[in-house]
Amino acid sequence: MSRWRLIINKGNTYWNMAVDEAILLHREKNLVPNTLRIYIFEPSGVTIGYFQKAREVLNLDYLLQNKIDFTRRITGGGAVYHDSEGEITYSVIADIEDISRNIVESYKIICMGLIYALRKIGLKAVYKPVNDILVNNKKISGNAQTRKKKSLLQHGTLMYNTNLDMIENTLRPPKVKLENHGVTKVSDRVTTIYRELGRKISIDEIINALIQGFRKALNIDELVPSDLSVSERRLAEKLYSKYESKVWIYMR
Amino acid sequence: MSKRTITKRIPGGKTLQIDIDCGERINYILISGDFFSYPEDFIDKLQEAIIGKHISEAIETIYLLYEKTKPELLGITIDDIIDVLKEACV
Repeated sequence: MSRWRLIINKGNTYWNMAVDEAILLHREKNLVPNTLRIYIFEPSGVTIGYFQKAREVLNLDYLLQNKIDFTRRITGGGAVYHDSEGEITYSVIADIEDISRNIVESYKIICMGLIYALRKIGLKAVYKPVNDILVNNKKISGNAQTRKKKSLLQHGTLMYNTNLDMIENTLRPPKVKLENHGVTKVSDRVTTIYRELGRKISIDEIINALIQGFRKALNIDELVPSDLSVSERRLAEKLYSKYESKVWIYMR
Repeated sequence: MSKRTITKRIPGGKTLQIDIDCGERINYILISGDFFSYPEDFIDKLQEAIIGKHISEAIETIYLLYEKTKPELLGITIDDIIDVLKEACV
């Protein structure tokens, strides 16, 4: 019988990353159960992968001029524009043994939650190892995972109506990456639920599909709607200052 | 020799960028990109371990650290890092 916690919330870029790390650190100490978190970036923001160079992958002039928050994640992978009105983010924080000790396999198991969710919505999605999900050969979700000794955090995006121009405005992908993908613009290789369906659907419908998708993929028997514990909230408040600090953001 | 930046898109993988300053010895190195390393601090330890070393000594150090840490790299391999180092320093 697997019993998980469900947390649905929203926050700014620094808070969202602080909360994911706080939950991971609590899960590592076995202070909280396995958790599925579904959240929104409000206001819109940008995150970069742990190993990325901020000055290399971000259009800093645009971000600073337009007062768009940006920070570094504790997970690897690429830069993401999190659209408050077009993208839902999820995180799975769990005991490694409950997912898979094998890293590549664990990516797939968790990504299947999104594939089931998209299928429920009416879209045929495919998993592209190691961390992408595609619809009609275009990326609709990117995912990234980090691990402690006993627990893992995987978070990822689901774009339903992301403003693709804003990806263009905020991110600067290396030329070699675009050439490799055979396209010239980021927006040529990403898509959204609305675009693929040819119509809008409600956010609630997408969130419900995600919940059902993850329940199936992760064999969750019971998913209990919850909030952060007081201890998690306090830790997230401490971690907040790291995520907004220049030392962390410009570490690379 | 002054600082150089080498960027490689690894076929079927991720982007690897190395900023490096190497003359007789490696004076500066920064490894970046959209790859994954488990554990993440393997990359930081690797950088620290080769500062001040000659390229041949650095390569040996990297292999030793790799064998000791046994990290899992996704999107790049340890040989990709070494190939870029050789390209920059040899």
